[in-house]
Amino acid sequence: MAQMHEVDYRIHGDDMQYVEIELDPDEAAVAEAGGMMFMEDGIQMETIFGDGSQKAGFLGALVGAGKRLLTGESLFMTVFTNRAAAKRTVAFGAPYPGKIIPVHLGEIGGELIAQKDSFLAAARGVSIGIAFQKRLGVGFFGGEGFIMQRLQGDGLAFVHAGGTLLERALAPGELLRVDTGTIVAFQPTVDYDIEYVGRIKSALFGGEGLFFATLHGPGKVWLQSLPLSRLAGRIYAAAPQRGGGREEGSILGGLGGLLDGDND
Amino acid sequence: MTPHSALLHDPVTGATRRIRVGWESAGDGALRLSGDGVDRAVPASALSLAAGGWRRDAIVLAWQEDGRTWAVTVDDARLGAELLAALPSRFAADAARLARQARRQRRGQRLALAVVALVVLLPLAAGVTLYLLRDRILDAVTRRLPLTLDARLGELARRQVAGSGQLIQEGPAVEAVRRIGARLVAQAPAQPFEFRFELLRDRAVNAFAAPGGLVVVHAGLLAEARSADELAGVLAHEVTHVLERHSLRQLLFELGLTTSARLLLGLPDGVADAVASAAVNLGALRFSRDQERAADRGGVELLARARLPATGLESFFERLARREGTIPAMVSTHPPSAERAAALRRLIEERGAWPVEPFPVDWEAVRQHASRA
Repeated sequence: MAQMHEVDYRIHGDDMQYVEIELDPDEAAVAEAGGMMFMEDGIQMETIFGDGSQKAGFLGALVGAGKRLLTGESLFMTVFTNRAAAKRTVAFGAPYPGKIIPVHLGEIGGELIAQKDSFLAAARGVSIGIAFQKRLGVGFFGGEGFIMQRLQGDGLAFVHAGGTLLERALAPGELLRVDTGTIVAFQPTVDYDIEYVGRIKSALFGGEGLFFATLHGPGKVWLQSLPLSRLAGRIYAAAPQRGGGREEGSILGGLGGLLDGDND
Repeated sequence: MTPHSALLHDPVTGATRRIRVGWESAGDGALRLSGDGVDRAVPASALSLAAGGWRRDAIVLAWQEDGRTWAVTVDDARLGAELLAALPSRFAADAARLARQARRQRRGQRLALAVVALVVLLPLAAGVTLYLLRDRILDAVTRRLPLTLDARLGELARRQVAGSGQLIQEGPAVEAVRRIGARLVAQAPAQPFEFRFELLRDRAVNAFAAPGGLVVVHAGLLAEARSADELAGVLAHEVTHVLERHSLRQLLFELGLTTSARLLLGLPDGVADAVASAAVNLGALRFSRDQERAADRGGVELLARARLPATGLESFFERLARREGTIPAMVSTHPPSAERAAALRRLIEERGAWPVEPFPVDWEAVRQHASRA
């Protein structure tokens, strides 16, 4: 407990949120490089190699940084330390529409497995490492790949995901079938597996792919209603292709473009 | 009872948290669990055992109590084994099944690791193999390329050189170059190329050979050379480049290196591309230095057959070595001149002495002509 920094926070906004973290003097928060929205005077920003939790010197930092490289994260993290004599605030913005979830790692057994890229910020002392999915089938078809983020410690961590968040505690043996890709995070006690949808017809036309992800309790799971990849897919599909515009169902069709004047 | 680290799911609060918990057999087949938030003897009939955890490498002990399910997850492999051993005998079959599952999973993981290793190592191995076999591959491919390709490339080069309008058409210098060239070519083993020797109005101390038989000497080289022997040495070197189709090989090599870097490393953008092209450059230069050495060796042989002294080539390089700057050997296309002179001396010694009929020429007139041009 001693080395974790207790932080107070407030989450603002509805679907495009940011989290404001209040730091006592000499308290610090870590965040992905590039996540900061604003910071008050007195907060000092320092970029560190690795995730800032290693104490083993340069080699430890190098290993931490190497693992971060594997997850596709930046090699660096940023530490925000309050050097002022009074409380100061730093804020981090979510990178796309969705919700920010605060997770008290201490209350859930000290460990959270999250989809990669979902980490936003944490109290200093939380280690942001990677966890490998060792099962081939789950790694290939589970929707989260082979590499996930492992947040360890007993402080507060902020995780971000797309759309609306569902937090649910599963009882032992309780089963939830979910669409692959909607998993944001779970406690390590949750049994995460895949299940074939069962019928060729469903597999091809059901729109859910060949596999469900299955989550068996006990433990908490967090699901997102709109994975970024799905949002990006829809935006890409609706984006003007070859310079043309797509009207919102105008009965004029192609002629509509001739009539309204404010298009470039 | 030694407490161990495990995760307890408490159905009353719905929370799963880490606790220290001890376990021991409580008689009557019951299991006694005691720790933070749990302290009870669970009858064997209420207990169930399964594999769990997000990678299914943990052991989950669950039991019913007042219609609700409690669970203890042991996520440490060693502790899991201890727990299995402490269970009432009724669970022997379950424990054996879990152990089997764990073994199967470890096998699966080894397989996964092997697959990943293969995916990573296969391109690497392919790359290393290709690189080690590059000489043989290049020889084989070059042999299969038709000679008309040399002729076509040579024709392109000839037009470019002629188009510059800088070719010297006549005079003692051109005469010397053509006659020495002809004498060397006449001694080369049966070969299909049509050699042409040209003199280019250019101050640089240089000479080059294009595929198909075009050999171009810069006037600056004649001005620098001290004797016809030195010119003969350079020409023999260039003629060997043509005979061994070095330009074509070099072209193939660069093409191959770029293609394999892209295919094997799958590097599409940015930094990766720059790294690949740097490797291509260094590799290509090194290759060309091997070719220069080969051309030196072939040149000495050609000189011997033409009964011309090889000492000219050697002394020419020695003089160049004295003037040479400090370009590192790794990044220059030719081996350092001093190193080349030494290698040449060894080659000449190995070949043994041969009868020499010096080339009859008024070298001073040649130099004058070349210097004026």
